[in-house]
Amino acid sequence: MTVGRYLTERAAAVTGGLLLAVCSSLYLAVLGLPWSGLVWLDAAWLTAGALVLASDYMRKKRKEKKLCGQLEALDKKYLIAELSGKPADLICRNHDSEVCRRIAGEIRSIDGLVEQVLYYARSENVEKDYFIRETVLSDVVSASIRSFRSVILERRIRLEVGTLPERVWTDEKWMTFILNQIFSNAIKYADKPEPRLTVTSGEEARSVWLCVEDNGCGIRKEDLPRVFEKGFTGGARTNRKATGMGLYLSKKLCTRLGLALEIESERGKFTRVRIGFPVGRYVEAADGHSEKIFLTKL
Amino acid sequence: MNRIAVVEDNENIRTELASCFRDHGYETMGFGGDPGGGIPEEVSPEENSPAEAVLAGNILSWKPDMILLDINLGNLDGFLLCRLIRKQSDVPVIFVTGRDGEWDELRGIRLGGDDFVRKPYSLPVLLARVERIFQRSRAGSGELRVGEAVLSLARGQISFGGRTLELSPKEFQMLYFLCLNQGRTVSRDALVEYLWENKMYVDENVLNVNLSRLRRRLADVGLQDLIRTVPRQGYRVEAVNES
Repeated sequence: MTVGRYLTERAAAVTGGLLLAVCSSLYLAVLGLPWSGLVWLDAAWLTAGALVLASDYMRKKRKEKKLCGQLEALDKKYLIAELSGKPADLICRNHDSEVCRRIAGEIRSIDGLVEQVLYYARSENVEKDYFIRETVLSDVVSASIRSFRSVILERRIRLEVGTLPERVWTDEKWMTFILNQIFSNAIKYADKPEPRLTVTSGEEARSVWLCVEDNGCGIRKEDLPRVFEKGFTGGARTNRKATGMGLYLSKKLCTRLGLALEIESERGKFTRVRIGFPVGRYVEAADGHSEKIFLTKL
Repeated sequence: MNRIAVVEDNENIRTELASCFRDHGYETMGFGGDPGGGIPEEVSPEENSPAEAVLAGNILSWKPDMILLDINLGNLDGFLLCRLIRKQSDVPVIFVTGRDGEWDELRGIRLGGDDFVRKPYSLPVLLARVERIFQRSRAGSGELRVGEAVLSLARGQISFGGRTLELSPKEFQMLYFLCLNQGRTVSRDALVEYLWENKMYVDENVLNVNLSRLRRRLADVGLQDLIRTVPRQGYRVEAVNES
């Protein structure tokens, strides 16, 4: 939480306070108080307001920090569970049956939500935890798409993945998370009898684009500018599955990683998400050492 | 029967992996959790820490043909365990590492690990890797034999009775996976999962089309019976000999 964001959140209180100060001084001026007195009064008024705001801001910040700390502690436990190969998943696959498949599906969706919450906590301090290096696009995409295999096959979604040979500089883990959000949306909002999901890539002037397109329900034109807002679940969307966090987090992480994230959509026809990777400056710095790790300040 | 030692500190995973290997015709034993052969509460971090040495001794006295070793073993150090095992034996070791474990992999290679599986892994892929290592120690790398048919890994070909057939990447991967599991039934699901791991995103229909084309092409070189359908279970490759 930055000061700027806090102030926009409290915009009403701030403008109200300022208006009050102006009105009261005008009133006193009409009553015939000397100007120097008015200036002193206003100064006192403003200082009091600023103090109240500052203390409120500090309180909020502390609260948020505490929450993030708790989430990080949880994060460590969760990571350990993940690293140990997801026992529940393993059990379900070993005892293959209808019930187990359904349980595995539910576990996957819980996993997805937990992941979102944890990445939300982590996104506050990305700088601690990234590792930028050269990655082939098809590798990151494959890592993400594989986790959706059973859903994609179950819903008979036609998946078309290009060869995606481009090399980009990014952090694999954060990238996989961003792609997970995009794929999960594409699958969640598939509503056609023949759902389709296409992943392509291409190069433009000094950038590489990864493009994920689906033919699902799309986004209404008036909602489109707001999809990256926190908690926005769509004006008329009655979908209870929406958390309003996926795209918000993706955008935030993309910004931190120096990537572009764009969405185009037509209601009822398609949604196209494009991620842009800068080339040039990273590649020049890498200078052929594919093993060299190149860190950049985000 | 090949013996696989599963060294893993999570009891659920250990049991499940063991039962999965058993289902696929291996003899297995789990190590790493039970008292006696397992992990004591307090472990000193020195080089010759007794816990690892005891565990290594336990594992080796079971005489496994392969060891599946989790690097992150709670209080124990998987690398140290590997080094201790390597001092006494050349048994193949497959490391299981976490998702971000590139450095671990590097360290593991230098310690004589034979292969790596990154968590979260999928069972078909794990089984394929295990089987590949057994194949390699049997026949030398570069080719895979099924009876008298020879699958050439480098060229993506299969030869039988003096004739050679070039396969497309998809066909080759399918055949390779089935041949690795020769003598066992491979479920359609496992086959699809294996292909997805190799960036070939096929669904039921595509799999059917590719399989029937593969069978047609195999028939051209006299291998029409190589891939058998096991009703309601999947497919099975059995050794075919020239008649």
